[in-house]
Amino acid sequence: MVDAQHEVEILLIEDSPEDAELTIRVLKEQNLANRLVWLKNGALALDFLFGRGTYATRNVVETPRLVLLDLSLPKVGGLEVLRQLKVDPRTRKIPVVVLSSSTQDKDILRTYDLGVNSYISKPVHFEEFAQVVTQMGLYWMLINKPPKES
Amino acid sequence: MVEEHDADVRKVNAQLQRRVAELTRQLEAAGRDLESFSYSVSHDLRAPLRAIDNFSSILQKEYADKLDAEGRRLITVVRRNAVRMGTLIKDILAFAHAGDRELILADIDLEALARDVLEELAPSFAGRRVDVQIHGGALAGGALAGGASAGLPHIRADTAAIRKVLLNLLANAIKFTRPRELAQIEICATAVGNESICSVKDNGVGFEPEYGHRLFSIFQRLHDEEEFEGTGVGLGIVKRIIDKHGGRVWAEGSPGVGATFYFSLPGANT
Repeated sequence: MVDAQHEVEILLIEDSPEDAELTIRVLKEQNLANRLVWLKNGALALDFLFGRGTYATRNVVETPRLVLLDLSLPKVGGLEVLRQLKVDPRTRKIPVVVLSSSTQDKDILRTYDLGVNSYISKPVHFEEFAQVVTQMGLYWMLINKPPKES
Repeated sequence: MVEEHDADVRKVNAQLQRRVAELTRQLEAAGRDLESFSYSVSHDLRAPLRAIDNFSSILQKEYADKLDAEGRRLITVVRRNAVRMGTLIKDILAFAHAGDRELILADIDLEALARDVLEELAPSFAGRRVDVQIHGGALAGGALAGGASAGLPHIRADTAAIRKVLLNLLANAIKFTRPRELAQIEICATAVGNESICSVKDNGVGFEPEYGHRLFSIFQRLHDEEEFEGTGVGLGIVKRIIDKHGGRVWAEGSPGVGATFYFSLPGANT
């Protein structure tokens, strides 16, 4: 993990240490986790993104290139994090990929209503999980073209 | 007298309305319970399973050389059961969702649907000799005599749901005829009185008739898993769908000879 003052490429918001470890492990194998920050709850994630509380000194302009967001989070839930990210002009352009255990249509619909960029239901089994996270990471970090402020 | 009678009617009406409101509340609560149950199954059970499956895989892949033969065998047991639990969770969800959708009734060409399902299943019996007969008029198993070799009648039911019923019944017929040199499967349907009865017969391993009633309960299996794979959810789904249509399901079988599965749907529509 890197010092939060430096530019962060991926912000992983995930309360399960096991899921976080697996995700980071797969991203590392693709060399995508060099500048990854992992936060365990929604409140901390909002502090980080908006430069408040623990992260009061962080330069908010340096937005992560990608946010990986779990939905069931303690304190502030994933949907609320997503909502706040997508209504604030400073953060609304950051691609947000929801990584959730839920395959329920209702959950998927709500995230798209709030402006999510992609929804991935976390596979249970190893091969599939590694493959999905690899493809997702490569796509968003290497293939996708992010908007640039001119 | 008339006024007294009116008052009674009003009283009974009011009671009925209260009762209906109460039952509706209970039904809504049950629906919410089922919803939160399937959410819990899909989310809360999957998360720990993902950890078990993934970390045991990593152990197997990256630490195999540090384990002796017994250690490697033990990891294989963990791995196999993690996969099995994943299948069970998937099947519980499929069962829960089998009956929760509103039925959309339409005229169904049963024969076309059966052929379509067979085509989907074709890869599962590639290289085997499987003979499938489809005919209307008489039921498989000879339960009803009558003219044969007519086409299947049309029925009025939910197409997606009946497709799932045929898929499960035919997949079973294909699976349980695996030991046979020539698998023979017969799909029949006919209108009897005001209902349509459809049957799928096979010459597979069959079952002891005294256990027949247990077949349609979820996760009941009559065969060893090493012999025939599956969690035992298929016929549970069939029953749930046919129940929802207001029909019946039943089965006849004899060990070593074969099995016939029947379902009925109300409202014959030939």
